[in-house]
Amino acid sequence: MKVIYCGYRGTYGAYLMAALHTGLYKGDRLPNSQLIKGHFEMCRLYGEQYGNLIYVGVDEELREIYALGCKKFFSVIQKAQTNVNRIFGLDEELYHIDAGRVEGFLPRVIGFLLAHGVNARFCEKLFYYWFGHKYRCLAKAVDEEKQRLKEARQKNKER
Amino acid sequence: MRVLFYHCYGGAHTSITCASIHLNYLPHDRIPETYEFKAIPFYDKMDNKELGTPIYMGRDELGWDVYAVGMKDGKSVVIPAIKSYLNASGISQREVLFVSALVQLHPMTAIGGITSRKLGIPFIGRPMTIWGIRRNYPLLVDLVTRVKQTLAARNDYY
Repeated sequence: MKVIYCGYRGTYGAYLMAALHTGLYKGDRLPNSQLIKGHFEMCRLYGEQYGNLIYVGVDEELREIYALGCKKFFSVIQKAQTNVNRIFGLDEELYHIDAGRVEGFLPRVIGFLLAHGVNARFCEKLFYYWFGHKYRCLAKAVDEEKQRLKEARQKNKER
Repeated sequence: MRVLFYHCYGGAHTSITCASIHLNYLPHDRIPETYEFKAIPFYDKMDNKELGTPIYMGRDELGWDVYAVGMKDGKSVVIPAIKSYLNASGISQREVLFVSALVQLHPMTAIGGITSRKLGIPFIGRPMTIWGIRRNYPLLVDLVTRVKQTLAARNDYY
């Protein structure tokens, strides 16, 4: 099974949720500043890459976890990938999660500022604020998604 | 398996027309009559909520499965997302081809498309789309001819 976290840009909320899902970041505490800095660097360098799946890792049930930047085309991409999966007869379950709902508007602002060459230090400060402010909320959302996946799996087993 | 996607904004008019020309549902040597467009399966049928869902139109003489798909104005995001997914699943890029059917789209087709699909007034919008497509029909035939030549060349190459 492939789980794809989709956001407007793939490196902000989508990547953060994917990292929480795989256990790269722990849900109960903020990652160390080195990791947050690294995350910001990734946003600075690759934030504008839309449509490219970013492989983050596997979770405890060996599901592949990805992050994806899909601008405002979440539902179009969801349908396209699900149907392409069927067309090519890929025996792979796909599960899309819209991270855009929970990540808030700041990633849009930070991404826009970075793309337009606004002072990176200022953007970094904004990023730290957003990261600290949204971390618990995103961790909770990931837990809920994991629970949903678990329930879906159990239902499938019962069938 | 080889798959060809004709894509446009709404997946209801130009992509369906191109796919139909490709599969010889519509003629290459003349401009079809209005009733011929209306007879095409899926013409002016795509629901806005279903955008992104490829519609199977048939298999051509070279063995390519032809689909029509609507991507709104997000082809620069949706196409990489599909290719990226196929790549992650171990499918070769040679097996898929995306062709934009929005070549010199007649404004009347765009207005008709919005009227029919977005505003939900097909009895006004549909004739407008057909009128616009008929005006630009030779361009669509030319596009499909070039696509077929490319596919034939690919077949020879592989």
